[in-house]
Amino acid sequence: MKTIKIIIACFITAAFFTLNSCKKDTPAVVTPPLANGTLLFHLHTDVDTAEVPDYVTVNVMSSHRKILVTKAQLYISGIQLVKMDGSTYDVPGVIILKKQQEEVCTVGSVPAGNYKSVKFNVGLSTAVNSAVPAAADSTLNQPAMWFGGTAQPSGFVFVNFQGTIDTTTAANGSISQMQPFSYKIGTNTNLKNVAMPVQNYTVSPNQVQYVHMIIDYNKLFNGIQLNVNSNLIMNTTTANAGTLGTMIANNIPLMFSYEM
Amino acid sequence: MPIIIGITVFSCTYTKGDLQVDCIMPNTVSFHQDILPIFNSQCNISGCHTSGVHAGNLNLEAAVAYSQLMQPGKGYIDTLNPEYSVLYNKLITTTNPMPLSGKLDNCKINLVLKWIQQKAKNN
Repeated sequence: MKTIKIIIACFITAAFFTLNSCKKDTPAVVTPPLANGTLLFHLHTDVDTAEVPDYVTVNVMSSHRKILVTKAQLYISGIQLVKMDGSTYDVPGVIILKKQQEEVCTVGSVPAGNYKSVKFNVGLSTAVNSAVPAAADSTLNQPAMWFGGTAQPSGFVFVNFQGTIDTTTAANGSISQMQPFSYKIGTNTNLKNVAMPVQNYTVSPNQVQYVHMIIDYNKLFNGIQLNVNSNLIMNTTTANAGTLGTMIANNIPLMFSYEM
Repeated sequence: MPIIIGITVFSCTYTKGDLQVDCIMPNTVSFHQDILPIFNSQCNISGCHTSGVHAGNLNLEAAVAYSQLMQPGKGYIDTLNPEYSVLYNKLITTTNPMPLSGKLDNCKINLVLKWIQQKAKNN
């Protein structure tokens, strides 16, 4: 009888610890603040299916057309992260100058969570595009991204793509035959929004998450007849308002794809 | 009694998400002895990171892997902030993680991280 009592007492004691030792106080309404993670873009600069390794190497595209890129850079702003329910988180104030030689671009600290896509503008907002950049602003104080000798009054170049390219119809011209091209896309009218397709990604608290994308500058030539010399130069604000400028600028969203 | 004590002691043991794996982590991680074998078995295989098809513009064949990874501006290796390294991040991300054949075990992932933390030497 005594043994049974001891066993029962032990069982009750064990049950007490079992049921209570893992008990956590659950605050009634207090929700901890959502932790943040760090989001970065990893952006490749390509022409067609090949990466632009530098500004001196002649790339041969899948059409066998040769191209030498001597400048390929653009602005990204207005970044929005698309949540799983379709609502968006606006990343405040981030402007990225994506240069060929720099593939890691910091978006910054963003709320942890599951996202299904990303949206952004290629170019700058009207306000930024009409402002004089601070001398210390290494992103905007970039003469290569101005239409004039200063940022104002003409504004910023949103996409600067230059080099030489084989313009023969058969795409069989030699390197020495390649013709110079210069596309400087800008003006408020040509600010383009890019909405990437669905590709889920998770930003975990206090961790780093990349979104890997390819920027294919060859897409800017879509619909452009390369064997027409006047189609190779589009580098003023006036030209941006013309048919050619509009056509080239409308190709901007096509440039972006996910890296597989 | 032992059963009761057992229930009491183990009732709060949680199952961890990641499988516990015993790792033999060298004091100094060698690129050639520790990292390259991972690339050779998982990465520079047909259709992936080879000279013919260098997915992500990255060739991880033994002869060029180190120089490919250390290209300035690419971000594959970041010795100042090792967790920011694209190479490491690709191994732990939930979005299209590498390798395609399945996530590496934590030992190998930690080996890569430790190699980067040790300044990613060509040793």
